[in-house]
Amino acid sequence: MTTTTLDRRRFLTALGLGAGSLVLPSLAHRDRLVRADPTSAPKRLIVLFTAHGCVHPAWRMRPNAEPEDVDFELELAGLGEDQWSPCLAPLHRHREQLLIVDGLSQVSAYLDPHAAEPHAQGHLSALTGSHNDEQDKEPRASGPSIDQIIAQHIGCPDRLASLELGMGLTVNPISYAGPRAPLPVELSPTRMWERVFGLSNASSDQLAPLYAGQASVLDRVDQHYAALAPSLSGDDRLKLDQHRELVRELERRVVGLQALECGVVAPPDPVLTLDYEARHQAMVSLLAVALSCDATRVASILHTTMPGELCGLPGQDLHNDFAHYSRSDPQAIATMTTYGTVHANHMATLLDALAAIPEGDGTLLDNTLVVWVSELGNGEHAFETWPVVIAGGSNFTSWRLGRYLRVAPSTPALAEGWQTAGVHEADWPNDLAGTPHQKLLVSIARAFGVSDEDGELVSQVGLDSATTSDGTQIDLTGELDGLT
Amino acid sequence: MDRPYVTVAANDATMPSRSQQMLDAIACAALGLMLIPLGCVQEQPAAPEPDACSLGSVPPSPLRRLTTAQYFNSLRDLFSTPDGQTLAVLDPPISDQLISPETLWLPDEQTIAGYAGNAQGQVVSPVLIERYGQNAIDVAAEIGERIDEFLGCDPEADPNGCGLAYLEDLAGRAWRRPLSEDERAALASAFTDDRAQWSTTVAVQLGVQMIIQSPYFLYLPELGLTPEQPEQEGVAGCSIIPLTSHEMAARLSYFLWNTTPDAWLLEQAENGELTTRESVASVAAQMLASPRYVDGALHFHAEWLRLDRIRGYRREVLGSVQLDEFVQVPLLREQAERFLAPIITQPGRSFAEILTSTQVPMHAALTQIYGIEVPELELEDGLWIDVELPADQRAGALTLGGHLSAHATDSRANPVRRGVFMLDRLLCAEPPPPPLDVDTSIVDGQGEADLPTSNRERYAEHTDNAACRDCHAAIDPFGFAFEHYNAAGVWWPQEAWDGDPSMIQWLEIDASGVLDGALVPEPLRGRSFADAVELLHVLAESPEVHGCYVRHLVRYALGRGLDGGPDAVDELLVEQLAEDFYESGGALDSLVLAIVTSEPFSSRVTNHVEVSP
Repeated sequence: MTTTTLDRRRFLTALGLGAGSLVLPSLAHRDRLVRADPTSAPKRLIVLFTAHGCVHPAWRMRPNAEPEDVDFELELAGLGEDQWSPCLAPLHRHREQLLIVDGLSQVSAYLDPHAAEPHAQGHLSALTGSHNDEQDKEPRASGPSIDQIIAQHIGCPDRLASLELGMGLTVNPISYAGPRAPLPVELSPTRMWERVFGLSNASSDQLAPLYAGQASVLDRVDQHYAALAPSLSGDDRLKLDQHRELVRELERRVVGLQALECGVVAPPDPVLTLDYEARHQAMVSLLAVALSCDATRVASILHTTMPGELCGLPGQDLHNDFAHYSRSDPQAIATMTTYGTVHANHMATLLDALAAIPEGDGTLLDNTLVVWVSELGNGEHAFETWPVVIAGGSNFTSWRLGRYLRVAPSTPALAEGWQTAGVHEADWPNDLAGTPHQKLLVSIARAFGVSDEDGELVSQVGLDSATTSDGTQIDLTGELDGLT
Repeated sequence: MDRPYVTVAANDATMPSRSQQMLDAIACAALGLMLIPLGCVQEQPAAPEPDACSLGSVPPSPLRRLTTAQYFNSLRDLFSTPDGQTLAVLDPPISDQLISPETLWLPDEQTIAGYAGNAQGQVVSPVLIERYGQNAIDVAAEIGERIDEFLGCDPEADPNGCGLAYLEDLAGRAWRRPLSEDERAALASAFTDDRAQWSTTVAVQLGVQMIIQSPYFLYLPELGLTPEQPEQEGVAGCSIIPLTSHEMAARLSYFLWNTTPDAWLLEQAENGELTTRESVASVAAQMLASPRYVDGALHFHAEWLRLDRIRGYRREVLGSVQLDEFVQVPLLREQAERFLAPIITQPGRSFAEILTSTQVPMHAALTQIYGIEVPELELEDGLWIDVELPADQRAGALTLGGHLSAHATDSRANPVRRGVFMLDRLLCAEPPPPPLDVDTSIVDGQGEADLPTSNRERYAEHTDNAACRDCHAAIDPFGFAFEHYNAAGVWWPQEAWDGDPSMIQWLEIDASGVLDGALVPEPLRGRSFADAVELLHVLAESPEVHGCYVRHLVRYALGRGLDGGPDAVDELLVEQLAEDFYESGGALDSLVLAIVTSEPFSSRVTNHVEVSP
C-alpha cells in the first residue's frame, strides 16, 4: 500500500474526532486527489433517518402566513436566517444546496391492512414504500428500500454496496435488501472503520498471506455451496444460493478493498466515541472519506430516539414523556422542537463533511444526494407532515436546489373522520391527505437512472396503489412534481 | 385427520403411553428414526397416501444457520488447547458494541419473536459474510501464532502427519460428521497447493479459514438418509426425512448445549447411539447432566423471558433510586441468569419456581433496588449471595429488577409493556398492535397534570374507550398487577406523583384486578388477585401457562414457527407434551426429554412436496 505524507496528515486531521471539530478543514485548497475527471465522479446517496418526525408548526416555513391549502415555493436565499423555522435554522448555511419538501405523507402506512405499531410501521414503510409483510408477527417490509435499490444499481462489485449506520440501539430496521430481508445496522464507528478501511490498512507481514489467501479460500468454500445446494430444495436452496452469491461478491470485495486508496485512515477512539455527538461526528467523517475514495456509494444513518441530555434533559425519556405529547403539551412541544434542531445540526454536520471534500470542479456534496426523512410525521404517530430535506447531488439530478417546496394536501380522505388524525394544524384542509411519499422514492430512483424490465425509468417503488376505507384507489406511482 | 398409513412401532419405552394416539396421528407426517427403513411416499402408489404425507399438517423445517451465540460457542469449543485454553480473540467475550477492532464480532441478528434460531427470520447480508471471513482470518492468525499449542505437534517438521491431520480432524468436528473421500482429497490438495505457495503454517491457517467459512459449519444441513447410505435407498425423495445420527447429534447439541457436539457426542453418533428413541433419550439424559446444559438451558430462557431487553436503559425515577446503566444493567441481567440457572437445570425443580421463587442471587450494587439491608452478609463487590426476598413483595423472575425495568419506560412503570409481555410469553396470546387511527397519546394524559393522578388512573382511557377495550381489558389487569414496582424495579408501598414539581406527593397503589378479555384463556378469565405476587402464584399453577411454556420451548427446539392449524401436528404435539408436563408437576427435564424424543425433533420436512402422487 502506498501512501503520501499529505494523505496521512489530511486524514489524521479529519479523524481527530474532537466533538464538534470541523471535518477535513485543510481540504478546501488542496488539489483534488480522488477524482481528476469530474464527469467520472460516481453518484452517491445518503439517507439520514431520524425518529418522531417533526413538530410541524416549528418545522414548516410560512414567511407570508401562507394558508395550508395552497401550493407555493420559496427561494431559500431570499429568506433571512431569522425567517427560518426553528427546526430548520441550523441548515441555513447550506441553503443553496437544499430542497425542503413540505407536504408528503405516508398515506399507504395508514391504509396497511396488517399495520404494525406506528413506529415499526413507519420504519418499514418510509424507504420501501411497501406494506407490512409480517413474519410470525415480526414487522417486515415486503420489498427493498430505496437505498438498496440504488446500491444495486450503482454499486461497484468490488466495493461495499452500502453501509447501514446507526445511532442508538436499533429498534426497527429501515434498509431492506428485499422482501423480509432487513439489513443489520452498524452502531460502532470502530467496526465501521474496520469494514471499510481494515483491509487496506492491514499492515502486518504475518497476516498478509491470510488476506491474500482468502480469495482461494472463498473459492474452495464456494465449491461446498455448489455441492450442497442441489441436495436442498426450494427455499433452502434459495437461502444457500443467496449466501453463495454474497461469498462470491466478498471474493471481489476483498480484492477491491485491499486496493483502496483512501490514504491512512486512523481508527476512531472507542472511548471518545462513547459520546453521542463525537460518535456521530466520527461516523460522518469516516463516511465522507469512504465515499470520496469510492469504498462505497450508498449509506443510511439511522438515529433512534436521542438521549435526553442532547436536549438539555439528562436522563429523561424523550420518546414516552415528550414526543407523545408534542401536539398538546407546551413543554413537550418546546423539547421536541429542540430535538428537531439537534437533528438539523446532525444534517448540517453531514453536509459540512461532504462539502469539505473537493471533487471535480465542486465538492463531494455535488455528487451526493442526501435525503433526510423520518418514520413518522410527528411524535404523536401521524404519517402526515412527513418532513423531507433533500441536499446536494446537483451534478446528476436536475432538481432545482435552494428552494422550499410546499405541496398542499390533495389526496382524498383515507377514512371517514380521518382528516385531522394526529396532525398539529387546526387549519388542516378537511378530508385531504398529503402527497404519497412513494412519489419521492420514485423521483430518487429516477435521478439515479434506475429502470424497469422494459428499460424505461421506473415509475413505481413499493406499492402502486392503496385503497381507502370507502374503496377509493390512491395512485402511488409516478414522480413527485416540482423537484425540477 | 386421516388415518395414517404408517403406525408407530410399539417399542416405545420412554414415551408415555397416552402419547400413542398423538404419535399415530403424526407418524406419517414425521417419520421417526426407529421406523427406518420404512418407506414413506415412493412405495405408496395410491393417491391418498402421498396426500396424507403432504405438508398440509406439518410445516417445513427450514435450513438453519448457527445463531451468533452458537457460532461463537462453537468456535470456542473447536479451538481449545489440550489444557483447556481457548482463543484469545474469543476472550474477553463479545461485548455489545464499541469494542476494539481486534475482537471477533458478527452483525446484530434478526430475531422472530425474540428467537434468533428461528430459521425463517435468518437473513444473510453482505456484512455477515464479510464478518465470517474476517473472523476466520483473525482465528487463523492466532492459530498461526500458537500453532504448537493448538496442534500439539510441529507441522513444519511433519506437514501431513501434523498439519493436514489437524485439518482433517478439525473439519470433522466443525462439520459435525465424518468427511467424505472427496472432501479429504480436496483438503489434501488445497494443503499441498498452499504449502507450495506459502508455507506449511500458512497452509494450516488457510485450511482453518476455509473450514469455518464452509456452509457445513455455518449451517445445519440436514440431508437425512441419502443415496450414499444404500440401506436407506428409496427414502431420499421423500419429503419427510429422518435425520442421520450425526444430524441428530447436532440438533441435540445446539438445542441442549447451544454449541457444537463434543468428542463424546460425536462418538455416540459414530457408534449409532442416536438411531432409536431409547438411545436418544439415554444420550440426552447424559447431556442434561453436563455443565454445558446450564448454558444451553439459559439461552432458551433468556430468549423466552426477553432478557435481551435488559440493556441500555437510563432510569430517572421520581422519588426512588436511579439505575446506573453501566453498572447495574449488566448485573441485573446476570442476576436473572443466576436466578434461573439452578431452577431450570437441577433435577427435581419445577417450572412453577421460575414464577414464584423468592431465593434470589444478590449483588452489593443491587441491594438498593430490593430495599434490603444485609450488612451481616458482607456483600462484596463482585460476589453473589443467595438471599430470601420478602414473599409478599417478590415472586420469581418477573419480579426481578431487570425484567421490571426493561418493561417500563425510562421514567415510569408501564403497565402495557408488562401486560403484553405476560400475554405473549406466559399465555401465548400476544395482542395485535393498536389501530393506527387511535390517538395513543391521550391515554397518558400528561396534559391534565393538575390533579394527582396515579399511573393506573392515567391508563383508564384504555378501558373507557371502546376501540381500545377489546385488547386492553386483557392487557391492563396483568400490567396493573405490577404497579407496586416502579421503573427501576423497586417495590414501593405508594407511588410518587410529579404533577407539582415543588413537592412529591405519594399516592395509594391499587395492584388488584380480575383477569378478563377474549385474549385470556377461558379457565383464567374471572380470576381475581390482590397484586402481582398473588397473580404469579395463580399463573404458576395454571395448565395454560404450562402449555404456553411448552409451545415456546418446542418452537425454540425446532427453530421455526409452529403451525397453528387445528389438525396440525405441532398442535397435537404441544397439546400432549403440555398435558404430560402439567401432570408431572412442571418437571423440566422430563419435558426436554419428551421433546428430543418426539417425531418432529428427529426428522425434517423439506420445503416442498417434490413427489408427485
